[in-house]
Amino acid sequence: MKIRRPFYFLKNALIGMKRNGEMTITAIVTVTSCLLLFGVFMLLSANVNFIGEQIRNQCQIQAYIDFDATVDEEMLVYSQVRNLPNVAECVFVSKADAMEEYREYLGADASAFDGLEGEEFLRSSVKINMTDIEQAEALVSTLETIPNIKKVSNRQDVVQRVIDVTDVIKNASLGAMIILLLVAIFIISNTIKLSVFARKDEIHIMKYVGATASFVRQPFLLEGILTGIIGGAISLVLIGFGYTYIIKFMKDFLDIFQLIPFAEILPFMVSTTLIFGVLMGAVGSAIALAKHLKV
Amino acid sequence: MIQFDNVTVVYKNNVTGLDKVSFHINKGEFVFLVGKTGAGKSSAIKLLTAEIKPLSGDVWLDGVKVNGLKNRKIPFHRRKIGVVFQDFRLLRDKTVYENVALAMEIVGASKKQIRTEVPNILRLVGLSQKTREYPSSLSGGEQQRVGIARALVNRPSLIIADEPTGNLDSVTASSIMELFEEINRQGTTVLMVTHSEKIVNDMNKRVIELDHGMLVRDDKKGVYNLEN
Repeated sequence: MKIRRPFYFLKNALIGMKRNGEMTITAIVTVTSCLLLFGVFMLLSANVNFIGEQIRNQCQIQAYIDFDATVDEEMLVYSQVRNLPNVAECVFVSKADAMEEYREYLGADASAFDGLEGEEFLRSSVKINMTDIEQAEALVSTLETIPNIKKVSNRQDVVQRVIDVTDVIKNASLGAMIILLLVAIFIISNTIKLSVFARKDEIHIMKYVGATASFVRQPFLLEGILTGIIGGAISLVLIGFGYTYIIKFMKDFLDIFQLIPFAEILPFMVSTTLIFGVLMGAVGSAIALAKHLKV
Repeated sequence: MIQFDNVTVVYKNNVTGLDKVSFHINKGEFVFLVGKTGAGKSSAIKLLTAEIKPLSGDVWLDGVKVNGLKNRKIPFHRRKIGVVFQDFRLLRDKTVYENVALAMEIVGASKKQIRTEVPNILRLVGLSQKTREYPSSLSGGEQQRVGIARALVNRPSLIIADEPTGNLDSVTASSIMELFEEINRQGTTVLMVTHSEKIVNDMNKRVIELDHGMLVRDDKKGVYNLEN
């Protein structure tokens, strides 16, 4: 009996889905669309995070040392900077290094400097990578108090914008994901409601014969969960194809930022989508059963 | 077996279903419950199947206070009762066999038990030859026999029949009544709600009459006479 029961429920859930044919298909399509968009937002959010991280990592503070400072004074500045809090890594750029960098930056136009080898007219500086980019302003203030530091260049405004934009995108995605979840739950709930109505007579008879509440409910619960799983699986396949295409497109035409490799995010996507599919199905049918199935 | 102690039922719209009704039915009895529409017959049945609770008084079945049952115990209580309906209530997409087997599946019977019991019960109600047919291809009397088989298959101690012959012609009705008599002879208590004067008079069994929710008559060997 115990082994047979799961099959009994599964059989009845499938019968319910078949009997409710059109509505079941509508529900699966809706759930697929919701989970598809859900997945898109999830990927968007994850990638925005990933790209944001890349931008943050590229962001440095550069502290320029007084042109007239001696080499010893320069070294003193460097060692002071190195010991400051929130300094993850720092590199000393001498006047000669600065020239070299500038030449590299100019590329072909660097020929303008030909004949000026050995001349130094750029300041030496210290390039700093931070441990916490959001504390950049405090670090800049501290740097400005160090003797012989003349100027601190800070791309904090850029960084802040990146942080703001990523936050907005992440919050908007989260909002959209919650709405999609509610829509899917509503649709599943309605499908199960129809399924309950379609099997009203059977439920009535079951009740009189002495079926327990869980016995009557389980096929409907399973029906909702199956709808969620099927929708989840279809959306995963679609997301898989779409994302692989986008990665390829980005690589070929828009190689500014890297996206999270598909293989890396696949386990997360599969588990999240299926968990949400099951959850939506279970919650949707539970709502319908609580409202429309008094045993 | 069945005991109603001063039972009063009042519905939400203030309509009185039963008004201080008391009676006792012994195990193995065959009792007709008669009365006009709205007399309280359905209330009495719903109390027994634990669909409603009395405002006051107690309902007992087999020594168990039905109105005191916790919700999760109600399904197990209902397994002691077989209910037969006027409109048969068979599932159209299931065969005769499946309709009866469903009742056993619900209570968790094994496949083996189902394979033995269902044919037995279908033989008892005279439907051995129709096991694979669907309700739509059966006559009214045959459909009611399926309904009776379904009510009986879990071997309940009480059969409640709510107008079981209401949709049948008189010849078919009397053959169904013979079946109920046979079931009763085998020891099952039968409580039957009916409006059929002929059936009550022919059977000459105990008659309990309700009127406006009150018990107005309880005759050991009664007839159908609502005017009295």
